[in-house]
Amino acid sequence: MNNAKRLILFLCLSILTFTNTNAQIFYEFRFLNNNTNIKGLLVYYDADDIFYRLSDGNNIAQGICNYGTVQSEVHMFTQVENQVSVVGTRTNFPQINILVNNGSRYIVNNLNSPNITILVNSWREVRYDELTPDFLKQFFVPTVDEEYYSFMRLGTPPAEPPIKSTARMHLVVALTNASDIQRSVEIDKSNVLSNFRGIATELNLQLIETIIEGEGFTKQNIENQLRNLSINADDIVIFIYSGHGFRFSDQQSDYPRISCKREYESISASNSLELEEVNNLIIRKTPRLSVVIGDCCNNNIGVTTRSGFSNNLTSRNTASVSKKKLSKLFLESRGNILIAAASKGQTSCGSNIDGGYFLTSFFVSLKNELSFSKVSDPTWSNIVDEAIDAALYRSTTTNATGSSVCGIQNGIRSINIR
Amino acid sequence: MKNIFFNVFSVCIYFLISCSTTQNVSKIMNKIQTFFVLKIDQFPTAKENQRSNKNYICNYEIFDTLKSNDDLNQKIKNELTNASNYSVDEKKRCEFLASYAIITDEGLCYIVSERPCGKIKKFNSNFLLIGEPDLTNNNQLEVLINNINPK
Repeated sequence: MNNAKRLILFLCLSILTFTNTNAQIFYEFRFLNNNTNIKGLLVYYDADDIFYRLSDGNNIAQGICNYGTVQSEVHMFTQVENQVSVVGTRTNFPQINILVNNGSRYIVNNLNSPNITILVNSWREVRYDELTPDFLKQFFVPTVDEEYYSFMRLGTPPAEPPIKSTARMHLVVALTNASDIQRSVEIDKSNVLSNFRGIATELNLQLIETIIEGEGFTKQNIENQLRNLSINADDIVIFIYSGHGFRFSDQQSDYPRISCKREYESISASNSLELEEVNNLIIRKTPRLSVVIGDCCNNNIGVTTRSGFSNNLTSRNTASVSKKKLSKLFLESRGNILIAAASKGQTSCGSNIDGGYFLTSFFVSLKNELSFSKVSDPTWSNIVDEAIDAALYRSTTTNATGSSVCGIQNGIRSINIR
Repeated sequence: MKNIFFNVFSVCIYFLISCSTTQNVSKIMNKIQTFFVLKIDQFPTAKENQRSNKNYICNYEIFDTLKSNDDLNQKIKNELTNASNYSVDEKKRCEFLASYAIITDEGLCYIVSERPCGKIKKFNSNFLLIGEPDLTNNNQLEVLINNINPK
């Protein structure tokens, strides 16, 4: 696999960590090339879809880029197609490859001559409310580019009436205390809390949070917390697990077990909990809507239950999403959703940059589905399936390098929504 | 006779390692010029539960010593310090199930969890955990260990 292909996803999600996720993320950057001031706008949709526009005031060019890493700390946008001149006659825009290294950003002219660099004068995320006609006209031509109008809609969302609901959202977050993945789990916690707090705020829902972590992260505590949930008929329950998972060789459920094992314990049924059992505990409480997600491995540890050892779009700003679409997903949906990040026999991965592959993809997918710029109504199937596909794509791509630690992770889900 | 001597020597060294104070262990490890690959328990045993008639390394019970040769040992040593075998930023979310311990002549202890959950726990000569990276999919370490102990 060539270097360009290697540069997929990782930097995408690095970008997300710089900014907190949104449906699309916009970056404006500026540099001086041969005494000409050039402005650039980078638009990130998802891992497969990143493009940029360059403008010198008279000419506009477009290119497509991929993400990747040169070394572990250096992330790169690499131009993968020749620039297309949208307007004007200028053809000598430099080939831009943006390196992100410890907060510094550079543009190199030529990958073969990395010593020739042009320092980016500025690099910033563009807020949606800055996507005004004047701003967009720097990079898009109203008579030519559909993006001009769809991005402008992001900048001026239609007025929506306030939402009134008596529903409550119960958010239960269970986090492993295993030291080896602590960093990515902390990122997941932050993403989960910021996203669902934002959703609850937008929908005027009372949010009841239960965080199970540290010494409190035990099978018994998880079961007790779920059994003690006080659920009304219109309530929503969201359960998110981020941590280690596995499966016994003889278990029936396709879904993994949550591992609550402590350092000196063996793995057994007594210190692990089936994700499907979590789902059942919640369904028995008869909430209107429940979503259960396990971002953990589902690999066979080679022992049976009996032979197990006896004695273990994170953005706070949700102004870019449609309240109407949020309402459809969270206030008008009825049923239950169960998702695991990996199928039977598979591992799942997390990154110290942006958290669990699946959870990161889930929030990107959620924001995309809720975006004003998306015309169709949101559905849970779209969100979940796109998240699974994105995580699969990421694991497939990184796995293919050989230098990855991740196996292919193809999530599984059960969606019962009416 | 040579094998018996080697095994007795090995057991003595392991006993000293598991029972000595950290400072004494450090001295012992510095003197050891031999490189060991050990078959160990999947899970560690807390010190208070460790039995006197068993041997432990980094709190993992030792089951066996794997017989290797100088050439293979040198290759393993090289791969232990080869950064391309490791990842610290991308981690699998599976449980660490130990298979082997590798003791180097610098006094370092590496506990290896094999694929599909390839991970390493690295301990210094005072048996303090100093790193726990994941193993990459194409790491050569597991290949070499499997040459010693083919499945």
